[in-house]
Amino acid sequence: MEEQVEINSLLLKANSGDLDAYNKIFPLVYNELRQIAHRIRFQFFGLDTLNTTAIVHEAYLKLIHSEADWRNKAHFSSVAAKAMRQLLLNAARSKKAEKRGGTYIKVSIDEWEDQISLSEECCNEILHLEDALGLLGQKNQEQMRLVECRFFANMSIEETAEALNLSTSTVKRHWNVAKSWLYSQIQQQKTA
Amino acid sequence: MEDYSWDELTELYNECLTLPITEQATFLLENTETKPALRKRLMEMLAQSNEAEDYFNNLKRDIAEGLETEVPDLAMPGEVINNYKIIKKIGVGGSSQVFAADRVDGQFDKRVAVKIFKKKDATSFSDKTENEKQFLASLNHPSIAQIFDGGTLDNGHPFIIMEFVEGETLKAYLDYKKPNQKDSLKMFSEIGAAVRAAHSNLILHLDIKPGNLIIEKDDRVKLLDFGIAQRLKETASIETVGKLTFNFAAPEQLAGRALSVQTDIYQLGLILYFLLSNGRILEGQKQVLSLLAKVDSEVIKSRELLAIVKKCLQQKPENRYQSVDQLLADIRNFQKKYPISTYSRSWYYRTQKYVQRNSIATLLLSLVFLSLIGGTIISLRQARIADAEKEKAEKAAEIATNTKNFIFELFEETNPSNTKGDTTSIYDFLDKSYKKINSYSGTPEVKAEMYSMIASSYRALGNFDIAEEAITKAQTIFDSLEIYGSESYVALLDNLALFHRDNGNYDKASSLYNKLFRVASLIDIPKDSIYASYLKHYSYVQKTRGLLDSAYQIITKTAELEKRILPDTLNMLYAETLYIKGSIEKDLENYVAALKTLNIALNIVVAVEGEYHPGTQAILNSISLVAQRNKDYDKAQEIFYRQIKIIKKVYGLSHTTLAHAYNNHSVFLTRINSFDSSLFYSKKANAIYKKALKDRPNSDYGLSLKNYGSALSQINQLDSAEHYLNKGVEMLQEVNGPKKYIIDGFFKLGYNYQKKLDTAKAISYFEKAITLKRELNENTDEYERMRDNLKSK
Repeated sequence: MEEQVEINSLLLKANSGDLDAYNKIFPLVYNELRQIAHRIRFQFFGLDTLNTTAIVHEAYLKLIHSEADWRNKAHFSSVAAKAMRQLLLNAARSKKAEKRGGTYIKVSIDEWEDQISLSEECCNEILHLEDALGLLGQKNQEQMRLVECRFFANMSIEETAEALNLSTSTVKRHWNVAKSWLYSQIQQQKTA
Repeated sequence: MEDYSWDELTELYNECLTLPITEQATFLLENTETKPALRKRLMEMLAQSNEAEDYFNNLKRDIAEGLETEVPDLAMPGEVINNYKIIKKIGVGGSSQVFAADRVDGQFDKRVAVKIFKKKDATSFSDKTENEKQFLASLNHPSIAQIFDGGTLDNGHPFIIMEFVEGETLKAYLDYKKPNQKDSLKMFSEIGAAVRAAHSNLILHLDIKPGNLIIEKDDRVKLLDFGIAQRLKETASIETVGKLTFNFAAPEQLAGRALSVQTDIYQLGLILYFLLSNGRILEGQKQVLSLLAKVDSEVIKSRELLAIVKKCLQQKPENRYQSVDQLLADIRNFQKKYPISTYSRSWYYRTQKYVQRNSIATLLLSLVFLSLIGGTIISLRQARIADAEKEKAEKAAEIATNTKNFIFELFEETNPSNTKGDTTSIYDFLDKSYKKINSYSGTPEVKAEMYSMIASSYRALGNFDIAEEAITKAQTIFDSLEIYGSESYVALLDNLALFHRDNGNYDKASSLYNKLFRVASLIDIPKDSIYASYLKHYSYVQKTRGLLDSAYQIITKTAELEKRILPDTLNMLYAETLYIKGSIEKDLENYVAALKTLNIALNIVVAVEGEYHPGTQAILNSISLVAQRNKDYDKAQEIFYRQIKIIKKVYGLSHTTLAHAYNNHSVFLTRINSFDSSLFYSKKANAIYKKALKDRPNSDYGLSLKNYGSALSQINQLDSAEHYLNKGVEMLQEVNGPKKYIIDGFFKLGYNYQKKLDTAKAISYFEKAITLKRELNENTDEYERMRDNLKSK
């Protein structure tokens, strides 16, 4: 029970942008990310069996060993989404560093990260997206988190709405803007 | 910098999305008046919203590809497979796991590799007949890892047993050894020899990639997995192919078309690139195409080697090397510094020169744009003339106006920008309308006006023959009425001048504009947007005559006038002016200014009409030409794709505008020495023209046929060249097409006959070219020299 309270409060803090809390919770969610990865892969390769929410909730339940209220489950989803963003960023950075022959020090939490084989073009795009997303975060935290859910965790509009405690119409509106703005920002970064 | 809040941006953007596309720009203008940065950003976002969607989908797909899910080990140490005992796992690939194994009975002291495929339902090696198995097993070559046997495990996974190769992958080898060009080529020849040996045993590889190339301790290469891919892929779904070797798949593999020796040659081309670049991979078709468009590459410094790589990477199998032998021969020639088969210096320079002489791309596309905008100008003029007539004789004028409006509506329907593709019906319709005018019994002035109008429609569609007939009829009527001082007459002069412009008779056009402005100042016609359009046309004629300073001066004046009289510079007429201004700046070689002007024009058109509009692609075409002058070929290529996307959406797949763009691109490709691709696009252009126009002759079609013939002549396919050149020139003559192209056609025919050693015919065509050139008062020295050279032989 102690543990559960601890995790829940960490999740809350992580969700409101507390970096410390996020770093503490990150290893806990990390193992479940491969399931999200699974799901992302399968969307494109035709074996859509589980939905993201189910995976994440299952992970969450494993984590705290008991049913929790929906709000905490939702928080877990959005932290998982952030973790996925972090994971892909790490993979992209280390691949770029490898290419340059540099000595980027990689803190790999487990070997799975090494198995991610992103193409160079894909790495470049992830790094561009990261820059643009950072800017977006400065302007509007909510939209940034929404991109993490919609894009990085591959959540549907409804799942995102639940995770961020927003209405589906707000999610749609934010997603429209964030998507277009990020793209135009990335184009600018590329030509700059 | 930023003059807005995020909430504002979010609100306005979503608001825009609820509006029809045509109203978005107006809405934004009204709501961002004091906020240029916000306006700019929102315009961009709106214009690119589809691209943004694609961008995220594609990125997600790429990420999905990279997220390899774990597969448990398919065999455990100690397990026995076909008399071989698994020792340990030694490798994991995209589609398989590889284990080291030893013979159980110890009969032979032989270690083997057992490769177990992850995908169960793939047709397995065991399905092969004994014959086939032996066939593969007989493939015994020092650079090929031998396959001993194969089958399916109890758990359903197919496997093969093959020679155990100790070494490292090509990628790892390149990383630390960094071989020089000489060693790389030596290694490539070894790989090529292995593939050739397999080909002579009728076995294709189809999955040649760095992961399948192992370098042994003595620096010898071994190629793995021969004969596997073909078998597997016959049943593999597209996603498996994508996952396995996406970057190394040939276009025909991605498209699921027939595979051949040329498929292996394509992959060898990628391997050659990989070796010469010390480990770089061309990722996907986009990068391959961009390499194909290059004359120089930073990665492969030698132009000859680049040409060899490009020949391997041709999109159409038949355009690649016909055999590995030919490819290896070129590599050998290069090593010995002999000329290689794909590349000849003199050929290259000749082509460069040819394109410099024939810069048709600018002119033709510009004309299409001008005639499209011309439609709106005519409509304005119509309205005003109608007003004037009412004052004169109210009743008669009313009838005239009605008739005119009626016909005008018909014309509007037939305007190419409104019919989205169905050119043949336009012709039928115009023909019908033309007959209707002949029997029209209203006032002569209206009749003359109608002739003038239909003439411009025929002109826009490239049928100069009927255009001339109609415009002559109009002029005859004006002459008989002796009303030289009217605005209608001024409009006719404009139309007549445009006719001569399109027909390549720019001096005549220019003198008509001189006359037009004289008459205009005499009767003091209002300096309105119609007047601005006359200035604009005049400027364009001066530009084409090479009088750039005069052209620039006129267009600057036009821009100033329009700024004064138009309610707003966010206007298509103003965009057109900037478009011409930018094109003139380009000719003045002021590329910085040109790009700036053209981009403003582009922004206006995109804001007013959206991305998918004829004007957008016309301006893009000019920007592409500037990029080509700046030697930014990637940019030019990129713009071409954007253009094609627009054209396909606006006009459809079978519209002549698409053919036009293909033809222009083909000229560009000739310029960068990419003849095979050039012919490819030229052929596409001709096919569209043929389908769209049926057998009706057309100036653009004629030109395209002529270009196709010229390119064929360049690569010495002389008989085909003769056929197409003749067809093109005949068609140009039939529609009374631009003289300069007919002249060029004669010249190319002459040169083609010269190559065919038919001196008499060659001389006769040079003479034809010279005669016609003299009619235009142009310098004939070069042609005469060529003719005299032949005569003296």
